[in-house]
Formats: sequence, C-alpha cells, structure tokens
Amino acid sequence: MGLGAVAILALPGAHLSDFVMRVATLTCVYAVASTGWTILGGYANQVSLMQATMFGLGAYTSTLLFARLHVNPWLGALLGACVAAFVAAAVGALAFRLRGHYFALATLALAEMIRLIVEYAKPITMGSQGVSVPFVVNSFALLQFPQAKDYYEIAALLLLATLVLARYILHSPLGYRLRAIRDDETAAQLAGTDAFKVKMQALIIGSMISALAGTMYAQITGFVDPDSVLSITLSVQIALYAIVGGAQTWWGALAGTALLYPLGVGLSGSGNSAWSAIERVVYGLILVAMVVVEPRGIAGFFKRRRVPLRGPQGAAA
Amino acid sequence: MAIVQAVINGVLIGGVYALITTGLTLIFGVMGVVNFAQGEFLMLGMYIAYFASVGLHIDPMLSALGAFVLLFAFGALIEMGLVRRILNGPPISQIFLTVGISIALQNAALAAFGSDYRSVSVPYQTSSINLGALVLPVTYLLAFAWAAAVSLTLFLFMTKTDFGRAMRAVAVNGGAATLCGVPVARVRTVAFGIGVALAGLAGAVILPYAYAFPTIGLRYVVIMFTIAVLGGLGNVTGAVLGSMIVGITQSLSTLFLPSALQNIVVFALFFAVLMLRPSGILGRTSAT
Repeated sequence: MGLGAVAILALPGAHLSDFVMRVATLTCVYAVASTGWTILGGYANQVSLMQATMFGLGAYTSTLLFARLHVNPWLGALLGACVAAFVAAAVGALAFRLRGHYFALATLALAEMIRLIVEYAKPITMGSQGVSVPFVVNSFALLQFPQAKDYYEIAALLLLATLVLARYILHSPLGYRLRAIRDDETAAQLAGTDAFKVKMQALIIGSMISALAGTMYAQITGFVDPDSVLSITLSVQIALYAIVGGAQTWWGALAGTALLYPLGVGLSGSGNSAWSAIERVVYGLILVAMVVVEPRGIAGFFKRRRVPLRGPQGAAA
Repeated sequence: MAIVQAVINGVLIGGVYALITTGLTLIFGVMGVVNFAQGEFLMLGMYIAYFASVGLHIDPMLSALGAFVLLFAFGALIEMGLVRRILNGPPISQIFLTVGISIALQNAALAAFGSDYRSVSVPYQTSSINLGALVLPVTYLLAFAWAAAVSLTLFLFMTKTDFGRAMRAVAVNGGAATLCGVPVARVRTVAFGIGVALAGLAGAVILPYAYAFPTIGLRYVVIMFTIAVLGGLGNVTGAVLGSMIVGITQSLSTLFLPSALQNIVVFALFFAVLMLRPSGILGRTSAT
C-alpha cells in the first residue's frame, strides 16, 4: 500500500501534460466518491443508486455558501459533508425498511426527488441553470487554483485518506458486521447485529466521503448544475467504478475508476459527436463484457478462490 | 369538471405506463432481473414506428405490431447471449449488465439517428372526442386502447395457455418448475422477449403525441421503477394498478402544483405506500 501511495503522490513529478494531470485529478475525485459508495454498497451489498446525490449535496453546499455568503470552501466542504450526513440519515430511515432490489429502486426515486427539489428551488440554487464558483484568487486558503492540475496533490491526499479509512473500516467490527449483512442479513440479525444501525453508520460515513469529493469537483470545474452532479447517470457511474474494480475490497473503487474514467474521457474526447457516440457504445459493451466475464470485477481476477458468488436472489428466485 | 378531466387524462396516461411497467415486472417476476434498459427498448420502438411512418407511410398504430415482433426477437437474443450468463451471478452484476446494455443502446441510437427530436404527423393528431365539457384526445385514446388490448391478451396468455402457466410456475419457483418438466430456459427467453417487446410496442403507440430522441428512456425509467415497486415487483396486476394510481396522481397534481413538481407527489405517495406495505400494494405473490 505504501508503494502505491508514493506512486500516486509522485505522479506530478512525471511531468505529464496538463490534460493528463486534469484527468488524473478528476480520477482521484471520482475514486473518492466511489470509495464512499463501497462502504455500504460494496461491503454490505446494499446497492444504493443515489451516491451522486451525496456528491451533489457536497458540491452545491460549498458552492452556494461560497458564492452567496462568502463562506470559505474548506469550511463549506465540512458543512457539505454534514448536510449529506443529515440527508443520508433521512434516506436510511425510509429506505432501510426495504431490501435488495427494492432498496436500490427506492434510492433511485429519492435521488430523483432531491434533484427535482434542487431544480425547482431556483431562487436559491439557480435551478437547472447551475451555479458557478466565483474565482477570487489563486490561493490554498480558499481552495482555488487556476488549473485543474493544481488540485492534484489535495485530491490525491483526500483519496489516500479515504482509502486508509475504507481499509480500516473493512477490518473493524463495523466492517465485519457489514460483511455479515452482505452474506445474509437475517442471519446477521439473529447473531445479534443491529442491521439497521450498522447500515445507517455505513451510509452516513460513505455519504460524507462522497460529499467531500463533490466539493472538490465543484472547486476544480468551477461549475455545478443538476445534470453534472445530481444525475442518475452519475450515480450509476460511481457505483459502476466500484463494481468493475471489485466492490468487496477497499481498493476496488480506485482500480475501477482508474480504469474506466480515463477510458470514458478518452472515448468521448474526439469532439465529433457521432464518433464519440460510437465510442460510448463501445464503453457500454465493455461493461457488458466485464460483467459477463467476471462479475466480481478486477478484484475477482486476483481472488479466484473466494466464492460466495450466488446472491440470495440467484437463478432460483 | 377539471378534476374529472384530470382523472381521465391520468387513466389514459396510466394505460401506457402499464404497458411498459408490465414488461419490466414480468422480466423481474420470471428472471429476478431488474431491467434498466427497459426505457431504451421503448426508445427503439419509437424509432421503428418513426421510420415505418416516414419511410413506408405506415401508421404507428399498425407498426406497433412490427415493433413488438422486432423487439421480441431482439430481447430473446439478448437473453440467450447475455442475461442467461449472469442469472447465477450476484444481483449487483445483474443490475449493471442491463445498465451497460442501456448505455450501448442509447449511444447507438445517438450515433445512428443523431440527437434531433423527431415526431410523426398522423391525420388524427389534433382531433379529439368531446363529451360535454370533457376532451379526449384521439392519440391518447388509441394508445390507451392498445394498452388495454395488450394487457387483456397478456392476461389470457398467462392464465389460459400452458406456456403462460409455465411462466408463472418459473416465477414462483424455478427449481420446482424444472422438476415438473417446464423448459425453464425457453420460458425465460420468451419472458424476456415479451417484456422487452411490450416496451417497444408502448414506444410505437405513444409516438403520435411524443417525440422520439435517443435519451427518452431516461424520462420514463424512474417512473417505471416507481410503479413496479409500488405494485410489487414481479406482480403484473400490481403493475397495472400502480400505473393507474401514478397516472392519476400526476395528472391531479398538475391542478394545484407546478408541473415541474408533479413527480414529487408521485414519489411522496410511493414512500407513503412503502412505509405501510414494504413489498408494494399487492406484495409479491406470483407473476399475474
């Protein structure tokens, strides 16, 4: 792990182009968001389809506070994480009454509900027009730099901190309880695990992590709107990164993001819209092939031995 | 009177929702797979009807049959080539297989047809039947008539034919169905094909009053899932009932709320129902 951390932090030393560094920076940001999803979605196999909402709440909270009330974005990031935690608690209270596919679809509906509210609250959020982050000064104190690549070190540190936390959680009592829920929720409860409480903790922690990533995204791109940070597409994307990488490991989200995000950028970067659509088709087909060939993601190639593959809703359902 | 009109509009829209959602819930009931690409199959149905209308001058109400047949074949192929392979996989991979298919189809449509909004012109497009103060647009009536006819046919198929009974048997218990000699693999292929074909047919019949574009599936997908969960995933009767409830709720809410917020009412209703009955209005019993 130490070696990987050094590699991530030393990347700017390789004198890569601005474009590559921008992609690397955003890869870190999405990897953080995706790792946030992993805590509940991967460890406990509770597939949430509203991680973009948490990402978006972080982005919107810090951006609106900064643009309207001149609140420092560092503080805004923390407040954004708090907002996400409160929303997550409300979401959990509703959605944890449901299991499996029902849970996933309920989170999808909640995400749409929040997007509609943000779009409708035009006087505060500017609706679907979106909000720009006013650029004041090039300064660390205001978390503002002229170019995306200037954020790299901060994004990379946030990523490393997130990975350390994710790894710690996986091997902590919370992690064991989450994995017990993943294998069999009823059995875990019979063994004395308070499934609701454990899932709630994981949801809140994961949501706060993704909200921090959201603030980073807003600062880097300088603009947030419902399409870019609150969409179903982004929620699916975030979950997908983790699943392709291996959702049951602490590093899967990073592996998946590092593979798929640059691939997605590369495939849609050619400008010609018909051609880039064809490339997105290829992207979709790669996902299909990935799922069919190795449902456990990249991690599955390394861990052929560990089996419990069949979920409770297997073929016999 | 405005309320009666709103309820009628809601029922007419609900009929189309029922077509799409029945397909979704049928696939879930028989296969245990949530099909995230259902909206894209609707989109394909719209384009089939669009090109049939523009190129061959066939009315969407007729080409709906063609859309049904073509998408049935397409769905059956997808089931045999892809879905079948992940049925034993974790639920996560099932979700993301269909998400991958949906991304591929959406962008294939974008590459092939561009992002333009396309619509057809039919002679009855602006006509309507007036009953006193009530207005019934012919386009919505025809779409509803198709939905009702198809739902009835499906109901008879599922309850009166051996193959329909076999489908319900697989939905209840695939293992036991195999032991009783039900050709489970073929049943699944057909069920997936029919589920997909229903979305295609729905796409064709709404074309006279809706625009076709590559991402239209996203417009329908959340509402579709809401209805399916509301009615109880895998429950066809529940899907029809849920469609009516959602159609009427949407339509009524426009009377006192801005239309941008109509889906918020639907979602609020959705959670209220789930709090009381976590497995949907009719629960999950069997595929009918």
